[in-house]
Amino acid sequence: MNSKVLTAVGISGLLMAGGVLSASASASGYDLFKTSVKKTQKVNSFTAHVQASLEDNGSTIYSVDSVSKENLKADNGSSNVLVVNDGKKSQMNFYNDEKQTVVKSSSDNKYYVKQDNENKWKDSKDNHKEEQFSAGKQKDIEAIFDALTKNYQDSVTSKELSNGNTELKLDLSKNEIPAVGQAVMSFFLKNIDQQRSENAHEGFGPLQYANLKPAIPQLTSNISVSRVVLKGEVNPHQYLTGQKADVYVSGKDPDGTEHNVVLHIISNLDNLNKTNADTVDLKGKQVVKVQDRHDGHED
Amino acid sequence: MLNLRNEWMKLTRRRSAITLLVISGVLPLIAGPVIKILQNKFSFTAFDGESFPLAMLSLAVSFYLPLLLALAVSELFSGEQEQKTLAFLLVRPISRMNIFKSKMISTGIYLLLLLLIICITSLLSGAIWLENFTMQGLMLAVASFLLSWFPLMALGLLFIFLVQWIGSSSRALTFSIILYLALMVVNFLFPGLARWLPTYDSNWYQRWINSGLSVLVMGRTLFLLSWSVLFYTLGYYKFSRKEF
Repeated sequence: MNSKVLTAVGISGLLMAGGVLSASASASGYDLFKTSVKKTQKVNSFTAHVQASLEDNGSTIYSVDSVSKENLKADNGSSNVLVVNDGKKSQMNFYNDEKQTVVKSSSDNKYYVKQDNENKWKDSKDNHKEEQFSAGKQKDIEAIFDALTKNYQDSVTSKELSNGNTELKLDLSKNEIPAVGQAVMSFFLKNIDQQRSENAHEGFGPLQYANLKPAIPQLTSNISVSRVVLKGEVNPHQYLTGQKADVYVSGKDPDGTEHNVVLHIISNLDNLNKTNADTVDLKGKQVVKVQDRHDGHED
Repeated sequence: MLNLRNEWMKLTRRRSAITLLVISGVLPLIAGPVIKILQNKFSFTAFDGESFPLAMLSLAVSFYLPLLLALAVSELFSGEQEQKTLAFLLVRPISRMNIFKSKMISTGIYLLLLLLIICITSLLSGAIWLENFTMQGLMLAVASFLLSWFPLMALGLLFIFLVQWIGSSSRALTFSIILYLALMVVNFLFPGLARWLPTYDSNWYQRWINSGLSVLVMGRTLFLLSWSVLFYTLGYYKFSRKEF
């Protein structure tokens, strides 16, 4: 090879390396995300503060605010859920341990108790065991997850926050959201009416699911998920303590009115490995036993 | 440029080339109504007028165009060697550099033409059949199609370099296809290694659309440019030393 060719090859090779290295150095957020998920999976107890709201053209039509205390080791948990549906507030408290689930709603003074039958408890315990994947299995799952998210890994950006945490962010515009996601979302929104009528009379104790269902505007045309923003906050111990998702959907209802529906979900984890669930003392309280109506169909 | 016209004729006057150009235009025109019928039947919207051209593009850049590119390269280089017609060209007062350049530029124009045909027909198809066709979507689609030329051309230069060792167009085509499939496998299974290959950037128009000029985009642009320079140089070096 003559020297000219060698020079050209050398310089372009160096530039190539520079390009690749600078591009990969700028996107390290994905690895941090994976590490933190793996670590957070192993916590025994946590307090989760979850807030979700649904906006239609700027006005909030539905919001949920819940504080859940879960202790996975003792297998009990409690949560306090506040739902504001179209201006109507309802509050619920859930307490569950290995034997029963107790529900208290703000609509009356009764405590609704559902005994978890023996088999179910056993099943759930078995399931719980299976959840602890073997190392090999976990590696396979990780590989599949890597392959599925391949196109997005580069787009995860990371930023240091003033409180010492690291913020990871994935901002997907319309054309980055996979067609499957668009299809599922539009299918769901177009067929929302039928689902509502099917479930209208189901419920648990005082809770009628129909009351808790948000009145999402019926969209029929031009439906698309226009933007999805996912955020995660990783604390200095590499636990994933905060998660945030904003999903923007736009579409037109049968009258041709444009709707911009936005779903916000914020979840914060707290007191990792230090949470004790609240318990309820049913003595002297009005207790109603609830039978699971769908026992026969569950298998 | 000397010889460019010549090479362009060789590339586009073949019956297969014309057929392929027609097919490239017809496929998006058919896909539009088919998608509309399916979406109406099952009542969902996976593609609308805005996203349809981009969906067509992502299919084209990952399967269709690399194959057509391999076909063009194998015809222009190995094919001509096989038919022993290159000797006529070499005795004319045109430098080897010019011959190599004109072949490469013809490939580039051919690729651009294919992209434009798919772009226009899928825009038309999206506008006619699917809802929510917007001006912004149109601009986005045109920009994406034009941007896709770069990573594909980088791949094309790799093909051009490697087929210099192959003296038959059918073998060159087979080799290029297998090579491309291997690159795709690497891209999926070994992400660390994939960063060093242009197939990693097959959907790089998405990076431009979403993040604009970021460090990542600039790094990848630098990579693609230097990759192209590298294989252009090596390809020419091999071509200039070859005995026909």
